Amino acid sequence: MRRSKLVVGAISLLVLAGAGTGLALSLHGSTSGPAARLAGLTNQQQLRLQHGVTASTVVAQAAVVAREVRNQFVSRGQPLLPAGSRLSIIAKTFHALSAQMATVDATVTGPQPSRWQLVLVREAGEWLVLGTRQLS
Amino acid sequence: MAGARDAAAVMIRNHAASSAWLAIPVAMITLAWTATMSAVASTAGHFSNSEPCPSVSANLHLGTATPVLLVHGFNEGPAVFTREGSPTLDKAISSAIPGAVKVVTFDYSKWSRLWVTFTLIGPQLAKCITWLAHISALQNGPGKVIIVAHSMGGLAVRCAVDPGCAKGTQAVDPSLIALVITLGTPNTGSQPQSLGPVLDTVCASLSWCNDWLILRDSPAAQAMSPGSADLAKLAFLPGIVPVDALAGQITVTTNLFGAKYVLKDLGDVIVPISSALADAKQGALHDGPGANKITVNCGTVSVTQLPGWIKASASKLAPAAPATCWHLTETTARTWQADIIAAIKDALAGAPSGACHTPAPAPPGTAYVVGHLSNGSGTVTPVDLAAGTAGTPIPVGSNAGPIAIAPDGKTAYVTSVFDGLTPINLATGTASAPIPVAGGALGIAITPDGKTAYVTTYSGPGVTPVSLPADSPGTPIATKYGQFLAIAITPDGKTAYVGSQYGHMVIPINLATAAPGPPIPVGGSPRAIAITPDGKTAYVAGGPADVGGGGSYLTAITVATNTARKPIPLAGLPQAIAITPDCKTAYVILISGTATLTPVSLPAGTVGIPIPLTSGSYQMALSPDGKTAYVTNYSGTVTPVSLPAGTLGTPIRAGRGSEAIALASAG
Repeated sequence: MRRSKLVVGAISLLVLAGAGTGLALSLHGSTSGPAARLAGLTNQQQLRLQHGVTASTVVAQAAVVAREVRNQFVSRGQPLLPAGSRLSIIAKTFHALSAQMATVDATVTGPQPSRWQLVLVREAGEWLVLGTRQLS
Repeated sequence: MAGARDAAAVMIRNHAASSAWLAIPVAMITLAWTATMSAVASTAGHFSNSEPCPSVSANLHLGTATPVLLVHGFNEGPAVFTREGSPTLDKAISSAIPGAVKVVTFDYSKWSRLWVTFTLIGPQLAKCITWLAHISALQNGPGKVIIVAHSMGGLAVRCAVDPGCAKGTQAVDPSLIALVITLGTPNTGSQPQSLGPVLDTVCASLSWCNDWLILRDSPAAQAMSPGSADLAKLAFLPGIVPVDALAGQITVTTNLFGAKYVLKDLGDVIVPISSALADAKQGALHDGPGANKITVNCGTVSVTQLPGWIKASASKLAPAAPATCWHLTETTARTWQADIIAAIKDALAGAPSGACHTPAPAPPGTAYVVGHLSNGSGTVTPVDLAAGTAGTPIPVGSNAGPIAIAPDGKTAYVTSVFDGLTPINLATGTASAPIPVAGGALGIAITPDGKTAYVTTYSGPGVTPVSLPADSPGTPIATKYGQFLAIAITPDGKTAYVGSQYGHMVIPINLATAAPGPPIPVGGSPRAIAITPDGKTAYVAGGPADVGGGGSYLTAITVATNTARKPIPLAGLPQAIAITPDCKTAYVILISGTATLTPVSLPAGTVGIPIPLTSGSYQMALSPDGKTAYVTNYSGTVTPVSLPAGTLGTPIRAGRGSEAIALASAG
């Protein structure tokens, strides 16, 4: 009896703390509520991400990098992709994990062709890149 | 602050609309409780205000055993210590230190969502602690209490000792407390409260969230919000009270097109590390027997793993791989229990960590022995020192060198000139891919907090820091003066001493600034370095230089001034050095035709009678109690040597070409 009640609490704590972690990553300026819950990736945001990831300077690229990792990224000074790369987001693969987190696949062409899954967070109404995972 | 661990959770849900439980008149609670209490007449002095602990017999027999009081946290009960885990914490402590301690619990489960200032929490705890100390003194015990507090329990202890908090009663005399061990105590607040509106958003889609939302509104949770007025009013423990604080750390990383970044330090999911360690040993403050501040590495989760990790953890009701611990397992996880027991043992021995002391005897643990196969590839063989048996060798690549075990005992790191640094998961006995280290890895030392390995390089610029759990190497620290092998870090984690094999010198490195200091001339070319447990003296065993030759010496360096004393001549080429916990003896393996284990009395520097070792003896590790040296031999064995008698035990087969060795304590 006591154990089952523990379960309820543990799950809620875990999910809240864990989900909170993800969400806390986009706390600043994040939108919330039913309207944001179904937010998708607009054409404009898709183009902004594509251009931003391959922008000519690290500072310009930082504009599409999530705030939580932006300073580290700028400090490191290494561009996201080799010069001459192009990023094409495959919009139909966009999948919202929550109001503030989503994934979408993308293809990189240029010096090092590759396929990636982008982890996006929504900050101040914009989808930004929080992480990537290379697809085989 | 843990999850809904007791029956109140469902009761709360059923009454969520009104949150009526919050309105339970405190006076009624107090009356109901006090009516059941059997007050004990107080005595004069610091034992006044004594009253038996709730649910503990007024006739408690302690004898000379030291009372260990377990204090649970927010929304918990004593079950976190007495029913959960295998073994439960109370049994783990009692069985590890049989007869020396008596474990009791402080039960405030009925009020554990109220703030610690409530009469039946902090003030009642003050009476309980005082009572335990009193009856301990009456029964010829130490008259002091060791306290283990989970989560908010640590704040209850702070209240009990704070005269401004334990209103209506007398605060505990701090001298009655031998040690306070805190497990994930939110000294400066906890995380969920800081999320605010985000929780509401999340909870809109989670049916069971009401429990939490109501808990969040409880007086205790409100008080534990970072920056709350309640927290601000709660005094930290006075410096006279030794504090051993344990914090959990789950790290979230991310990857941007191949580049790795640390995204967030989750603490133990509920309590940030900074909060859990805020009232711990800080220099002289809270120093004393058992005092320490330890961050337990609970693993790393990548952001892409996070959704799946949450789901898996929720379904398992336990931290899913790769995480190994979190807030709710701090009383049950073996690593945590081992740290708690170690701190209690130190307190019982009256010996502070980071001081010269005579520890209680401890069972032998596991030795990890680096060996080499005929084709040059390396292995690490686990050796059960109690059973005298070797486990399955773990392949680690070629030219494996020194090995070090992280303070949490979970991971060993093996250096290799060719492969860099190879992490080994000691629980699974598997090696991960090596982390390349520019210039090749030679020596290794890990900081006491377990956060960084410093790796000396074969042909590189000097010393390379590697963040742990193993990550890409950081910026090397250029130390000049050529090749380095020996490295040791002071117990306070502030300074590394690195020996230059190309010169008779040691380079001190300020680890806070990564700045090498002026070289310290020593006798011989440094081959091994050990630092006394009190951190006051580094001993450098040096042999003839590759260029210029010379003799062998043991040189003491005063850490405070980085000055070397007059070198002590040694007979033979030093291979390894270790210092006993009482700081009274250094043991050096010397090779001069035959191998010996040579004792040197400290600080006088008197060389004792060498203990003959078998031919091929090479490296050693000293048991934590300093009573046994485990000596490796190229022939593939580990030989226990009883100290100071020098009796050689039966060699244990450990794998071909045994060289470097590191010990992991039992349990």
